[in-house]
Amino acid sequence: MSGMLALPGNCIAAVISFTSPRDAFRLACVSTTFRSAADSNVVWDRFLGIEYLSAISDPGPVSSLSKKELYIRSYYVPILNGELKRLGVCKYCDQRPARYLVESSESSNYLCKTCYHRYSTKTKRHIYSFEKIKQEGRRGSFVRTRSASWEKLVKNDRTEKEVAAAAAKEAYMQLKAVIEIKLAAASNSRKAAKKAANEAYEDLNAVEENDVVVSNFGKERAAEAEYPENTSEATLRMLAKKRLSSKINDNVLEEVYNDLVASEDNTKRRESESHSDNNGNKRRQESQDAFEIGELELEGYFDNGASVRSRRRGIWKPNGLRKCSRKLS
Amino acid sequence: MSTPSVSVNRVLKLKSSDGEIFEVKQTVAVQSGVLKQMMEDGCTEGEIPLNNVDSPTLAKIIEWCNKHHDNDVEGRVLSEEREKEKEKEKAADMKKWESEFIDALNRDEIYFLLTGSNYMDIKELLDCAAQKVADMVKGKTPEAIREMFNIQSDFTEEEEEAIRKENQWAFD
Repeated sequence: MSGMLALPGNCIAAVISFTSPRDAFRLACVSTTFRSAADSNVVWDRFLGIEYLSAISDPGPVSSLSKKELYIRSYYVPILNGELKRLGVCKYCDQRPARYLVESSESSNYLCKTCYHRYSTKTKRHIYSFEKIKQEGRRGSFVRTRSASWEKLVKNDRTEKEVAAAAAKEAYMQLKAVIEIKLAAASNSRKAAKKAANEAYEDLNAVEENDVVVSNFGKERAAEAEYPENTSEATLRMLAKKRLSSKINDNVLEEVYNDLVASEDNTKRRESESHSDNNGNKRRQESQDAFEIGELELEGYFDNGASVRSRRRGIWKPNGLRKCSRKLS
Repeated sequence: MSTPSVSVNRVLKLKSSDGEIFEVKQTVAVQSGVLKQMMEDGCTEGEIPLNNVDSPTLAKIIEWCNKHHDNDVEGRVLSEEREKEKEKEKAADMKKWESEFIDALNRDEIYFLLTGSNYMDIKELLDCAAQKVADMVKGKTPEAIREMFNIQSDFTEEEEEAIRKENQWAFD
């Protein structure tokens, strides 16, 4: 009777895949043929099921392991301080790792996820997940600490609420006081402001009465100030206004003004003596030359383009100078 | 069945390892993956030698295939609505027939059926036989299994120790 040994490897594997994982481990100890069949991925693919899916989603070297190793790993859960805890096999199906603890008054069983869900929906008993148990260590202490911590939590919660309510009330009172003070201050300041405004109004009336006197006096002075006696004075004033006077050589300017005055005299004379003799023409020519020179010199003493600018603004009224400037440009 | 070369009336001649010839309809033979492949390749002229299957086993296999084929034909003849109703009934019937079929065999016959179905690539029969053997194997110690199948351990003592240790995981 050597039938089983004559079977090809994949037949043995097919047989083993119909057994349980526990049997597969045992069968691996029978012989070399059985061992290779029992360790093959065909067998363990069947056993892994849901656990296989969760294991394959893990990153890293997991996928390079054999399915058997994957299966074994699905039975280990990391607990505190990096140790691995071996899980038992489910009491009901005897196939999957028991991750859940089911407690009743008579017994306590470890179940796998599938059976746990089936059981919990059937009986609706208190079931603690293994994940919680492993955090607490032993089961007994887990139950005790759980109730204790629950009471503590409730107590803490209550005291916290009371404290918060008291704090809120106090804050409200403080805020109210502050607002009252602010309101009082505001009304006071309003009165004060009204008073001040009345005073100011009275003052204003008095000032206006004075103003009439002052403005009459001011107008006279303003009229004086507005009209310069002649063009040269106007220029000077203009330059002073533009703050260019400091850049101008005073001596040169004086010369230019003198010339200007002369030219003005000339033009006036030309207008009045319209019959214009040779002498008059000659003098006009001279004065024009003088203007040219004056203009050139003046330009030398202004900053770049300042004279041109002032010319464009129409400061230089005399005709002779206008011609002269046209020539220059 | 879907391939045009397969006709209802054509018959395949299968020759077992001890020279006996069995005639099988092509529509039945397609259940075997090997024969189906041969039919698709068009090399089914004359006798097809099956050197790993002896005549009692081949008879059993053909019986299985005929039964499953009849089942299929019945299913096709029925209207769709009735088919759905009958489906469960049929499945239960088939399971009952399968278990009876397997239980009637002794251990050696099952092994041969297992090898034969594996060789001829008949998935359902293989599963059925494997399930049967698995039930026999379940819950037994390695020693008991060795005794049961008359296997001598071909491990050395050290090897056996190591393998025991490796698989100790299952025993605690």
